[in-house]
Amino acid sequence: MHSRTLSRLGGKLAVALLTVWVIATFNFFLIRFMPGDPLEHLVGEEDYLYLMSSHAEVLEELRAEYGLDGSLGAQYLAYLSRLARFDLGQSYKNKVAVLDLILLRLGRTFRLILPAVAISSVLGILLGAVIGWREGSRLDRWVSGLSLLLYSVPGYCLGMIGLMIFCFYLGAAPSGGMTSGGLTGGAYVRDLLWHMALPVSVLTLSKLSYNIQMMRSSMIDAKKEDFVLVAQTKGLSRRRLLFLHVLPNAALPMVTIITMQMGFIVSGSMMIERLFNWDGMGLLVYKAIAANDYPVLQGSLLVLTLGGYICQSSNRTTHGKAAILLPRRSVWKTARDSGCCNGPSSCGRFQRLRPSSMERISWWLQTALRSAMSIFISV
Amino acid sequence: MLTVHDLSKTFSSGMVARRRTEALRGVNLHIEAGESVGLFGPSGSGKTTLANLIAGVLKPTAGEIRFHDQPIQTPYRGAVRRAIQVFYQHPESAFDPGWSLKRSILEPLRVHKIPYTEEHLCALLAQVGLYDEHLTRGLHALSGGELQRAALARVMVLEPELILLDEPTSMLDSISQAQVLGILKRYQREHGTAYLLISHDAQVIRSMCSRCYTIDQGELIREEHFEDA
Repeated sequence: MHSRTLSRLGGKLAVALLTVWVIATFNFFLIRFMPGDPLEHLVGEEDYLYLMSSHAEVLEELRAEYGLDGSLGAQYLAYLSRLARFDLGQSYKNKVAVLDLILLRLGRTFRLILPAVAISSVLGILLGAVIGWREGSRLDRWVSGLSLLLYSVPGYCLGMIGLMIFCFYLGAAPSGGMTSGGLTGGAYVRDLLWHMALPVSVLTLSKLSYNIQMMRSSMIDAKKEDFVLVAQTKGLSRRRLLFLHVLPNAALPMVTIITMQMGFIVSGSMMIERLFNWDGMGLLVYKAIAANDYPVLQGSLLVLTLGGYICQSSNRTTHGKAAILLPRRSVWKTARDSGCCNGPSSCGRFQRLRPSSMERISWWLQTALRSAMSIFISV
Repeated sequence: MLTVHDLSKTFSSGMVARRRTEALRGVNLHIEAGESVGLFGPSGSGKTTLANLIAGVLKPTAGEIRFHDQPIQTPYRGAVRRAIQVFYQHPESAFDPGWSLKRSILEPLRVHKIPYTEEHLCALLAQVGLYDEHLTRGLHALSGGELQRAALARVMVLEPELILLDEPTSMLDSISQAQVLGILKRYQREHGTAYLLISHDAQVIRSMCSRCYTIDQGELIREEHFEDA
């Protein structure tokens, strides 16, 4: 393999490892500084107070058993050495491997967020495109007004309103949980979909209004572009103008927005999972916080943060895809543009521009910012 | 060929208190077939608004536009749309960034269902000083002068009778400017196309036009004839 490629790959690997270390370190210390003692949740409050006053050595034995003795630095090094072996530890409460817990719950969370992101994206793009194209119309005013109203209502409020209407008044939706239990095959799938309907709808509505407004804004900007005006003077009908020029250019920013939403929605679904008692990542983190279950908290936040970081990094890929769909100024230039000659294909040589020092600094700053954003998302 | 009678355009803006801006007031002008007419004025005088009205992009508030003695209404359709074309100032934003250059240049032919051949396309490109290889490049790989010439090719592909040139050379360096003006003169000699050249550069107007209107604050204030254009 070319040495330049090797060094580039090595650089990327080093940055990735550095990012993981920063995230892991931040998660470790953030959780350790939480108030409360995990042992209190393990033995119960009354027994904890009794042991504290009469048999403190029992508590010390428990601390040693759970690795909570020793200095913070020693605990941190032990944590890092386990992490290097991909060992996220065991839950204090369940005595189950944290990685297994996370993988199980992640799948359940994705059952909610993937349909929600898909539906809110498609509906958001369609509705936003219609009202953006018909800017100022009655339909635009109504849909924009409703979507702004929806945007101002928090997701958990929407969830409570949904429960009240569809569960308590109409009896059309279950009050919570993932399944009714004891079902298999097609009946299980139908039951699962029935339980998913309300939380997915709430998550969809909470993201839909943002997508509608972003798409509407994008359509209005695209309509005002010079090339749209030029296409009008060529005799294009309004329909062709919309589908050939305005819509493709307006939909492009939505690619980035939807990718970024994936990173936010995983952490944002915690309230919805708590409300609907959906046993996913959100509920796992919620219960771990309540129980001071350090390994579960550290592992969950690490996975969520890394997931957010990967989503941020994948924006570079979506920008790359957007660049393929919408070419921007390339770093390649012909020798002709450099002033070599004026002939056409005789000057087919290309020279690649080296990134300047400002570009390198900008890249490092972007990487640091993405890491910080990932940590912020997880918190 | 084209006559404008008492053309006026008023823009309204603001959500609560509607502000009315009179961009054009009672404009009268005429353009004969094969003639080059200049429109000179400072920024904000209404030149581009007048061009957009004549091009059928905007609807006039009052007044009439007649083409070959027939009144024409916005939006233009069919032969009228083909006959009146506009060439804008900013070439880099005149092309859909998601389309190839070839597709953009051939789009007007597809819209008007005009058959074409590769030789026809090559001849058109040669007229504006471009080559086949320019069609294979992305828009981002063309210089400002090349883009402007490609935009010219897209205008000329319909063989219009009147081209409205809205500051066609203001974004170009002096060499590219001379190239574009040379192409325009040659095209006019060969096809008898009329031009309405909008510019704030008096020298460009003098070199290209036989007549010039001066516009200020939405009104035509003067008409000049040049002997040696």
